[in-house]
Amino acid sequence: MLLSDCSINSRCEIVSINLPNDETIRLCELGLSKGTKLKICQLCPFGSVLVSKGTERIGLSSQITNLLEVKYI
Amino acid sequence: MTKTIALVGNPNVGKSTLFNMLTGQNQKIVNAPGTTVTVAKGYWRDKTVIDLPGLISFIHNSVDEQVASQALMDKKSSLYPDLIILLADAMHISRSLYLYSQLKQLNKPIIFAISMADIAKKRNIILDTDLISKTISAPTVLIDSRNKKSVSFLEDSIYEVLYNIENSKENSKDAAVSNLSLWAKNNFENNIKWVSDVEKKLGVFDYDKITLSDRVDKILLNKFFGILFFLLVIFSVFQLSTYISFPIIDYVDGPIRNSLNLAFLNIFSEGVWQSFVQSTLIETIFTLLEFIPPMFFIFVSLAVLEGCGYLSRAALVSDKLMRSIGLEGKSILPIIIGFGCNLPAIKATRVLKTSEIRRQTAFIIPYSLCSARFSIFIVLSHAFFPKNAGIVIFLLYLISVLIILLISFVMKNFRYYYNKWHNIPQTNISNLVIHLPVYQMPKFAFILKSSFAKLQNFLWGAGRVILGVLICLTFLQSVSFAADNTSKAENSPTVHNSLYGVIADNTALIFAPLGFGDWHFSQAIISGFLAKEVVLGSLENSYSDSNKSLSSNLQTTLAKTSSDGSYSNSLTSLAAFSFMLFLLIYIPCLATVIGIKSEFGLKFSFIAVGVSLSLAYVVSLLFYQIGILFVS
Repeated sequence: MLLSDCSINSRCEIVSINLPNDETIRLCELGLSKGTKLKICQLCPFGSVLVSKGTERIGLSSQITNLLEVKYI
Repeated sequence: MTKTIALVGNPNVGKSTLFNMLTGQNQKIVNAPGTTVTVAKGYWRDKTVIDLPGLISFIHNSVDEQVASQALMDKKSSLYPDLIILLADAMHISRSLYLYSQLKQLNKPIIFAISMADIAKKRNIILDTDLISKTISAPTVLIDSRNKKSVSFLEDSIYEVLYNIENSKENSKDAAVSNLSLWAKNNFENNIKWVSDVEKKLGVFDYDKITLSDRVDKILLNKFFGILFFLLVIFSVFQLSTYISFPIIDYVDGPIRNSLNLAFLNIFSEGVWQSFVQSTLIETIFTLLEFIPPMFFIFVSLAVLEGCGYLSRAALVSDKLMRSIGLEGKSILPIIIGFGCNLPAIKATRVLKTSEIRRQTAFIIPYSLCSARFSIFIVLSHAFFPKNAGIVIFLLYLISVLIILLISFVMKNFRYYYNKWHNIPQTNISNLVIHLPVYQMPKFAFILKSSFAKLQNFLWGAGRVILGVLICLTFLQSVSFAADNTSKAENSPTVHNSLYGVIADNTALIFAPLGFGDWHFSQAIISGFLAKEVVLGSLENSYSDSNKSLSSNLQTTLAKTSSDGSYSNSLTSLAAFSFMLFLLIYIPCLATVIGIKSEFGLKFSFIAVGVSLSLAYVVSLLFYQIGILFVS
């Protein structure tokens, strides 16, 4: 399941990232790696998603939400 | 030798705010060596402070990151620091710890400064600086970048570290690794694990409560209300830069200008001095004064939006829309502001964090139909197209938007092939992941102070150039070039008989293929380079110059030139629209050019002026020449 398909207030874990290696590294540097647990806080206009990760609130562009495979936890 | 302190940190952690707090107005923008990336350089006491571009990692992903990492690694660089202040956001501390894991390989003294500590405290997040300091082996301070008292703790820490450096018997150590980028890539997993271990030791980040910020986001980032609120914000900023500024500008340009003129008339007797004061000094002062209200409102409103945390949300809302033309979400703000006034819009590009996006946005802003052009088009369209004035203005707005889209499309594709050719990733992942700050009340005293400082910088920089250009114009208009003796004998030559008139006459030849090869229009274009507001005044002057008995207003005069050709040269509707197209596309005003130069350098401003002049010429030429084929 893609992150873009998740429903609001659900919790999920990133299981894979469909990006080339270099870009996956950058995503990990930004705090989103395989195994990261997220909570979907808000589905925003034009397909962007607001997620929370601990104290952090991260806005993900629609381009990214379609590249992150997740599972509900 | 003066010590250099570098402010380093992830984008949006408040580096620039801290930089402004430390350096005050004692700062300048410089280009990083060999690049177009700008770096702010300032002075704190006798130390140089450098605000480096946002850095996420030494495995750089953009030119900005390359500049920041190069400055920290290259001992020969003019930006190479003696001390690093790594600024971290208390709410997003793990990313800063990750950057620290790489920075410590440089063997440079580092101060770990944690901002937003006040917000963390409100959320009961305990940040034990002693524990952090001991765990990461670096002095750690909590700061609120907007609070002078809070920054003083950091200042004490800087003094202490610099004192230790100066009194240390050891020579400064070389970096532990020769190629930090490669090291960072090879040790990427170890560094991530180190961050995770540190976080566990500190044990303060397991926080998942629904906060007030989350509740506000439920409304402001809602799929439907989010767009409405975003449009409302954009609309309000636009209104501030235009309709609220207009009455103030009118008052400044009306009663205040008249009384100042009168005062100077009484002080100086008629002659060269009076002419100099009236046509150069007063003109310079008022050209600058007219920019103050919109610029001030824009600076304040952008600072409020950034300070309260909405700007990052606005970027998220408009992200997809702007990405389709190769820009990023936040670019929409400067572009919309540009339709009010181009100069504050250029300054507003500072909210964009990536230099290439900043340059692309600044490049397209001058093509937006600003309020000054709008006021010219109102008069010209009613004069030349009395029955279809509304449609003409609508068409011009449409053309302005189309040109912006066209140029963005060309630049997007250019960047695509450039990146492909240089093996640069097509998508900068960092721009797709936006770390949102907590909503907070902006500090108005701080916002007003920084907005006044920005205004002061602009007035000082632009004032000198505008004064210089006006002195040249006054000189050109005062040198008589009349063929007959009668005119030469006159004390003050008419515009047409002056050196300026001769230049306008010759320039008119260049505009002949565009349909308006008449000196009245070419001199209006020349003076319009100074400010678009001047175009109507100079047209009026030139026509009253040609026909001393002229008593009607400019609109009637132009309408007559259009219909019966009773004046020196008549303009057909086709030529009139071609003239308006030229006014729309060529560079808006000198102040905007100065703004572009101060933000992006001389070379970039030359390119922007060159492209706009060429594009204006080509579009008007094609329109007129193709139009003639159909009309005839």
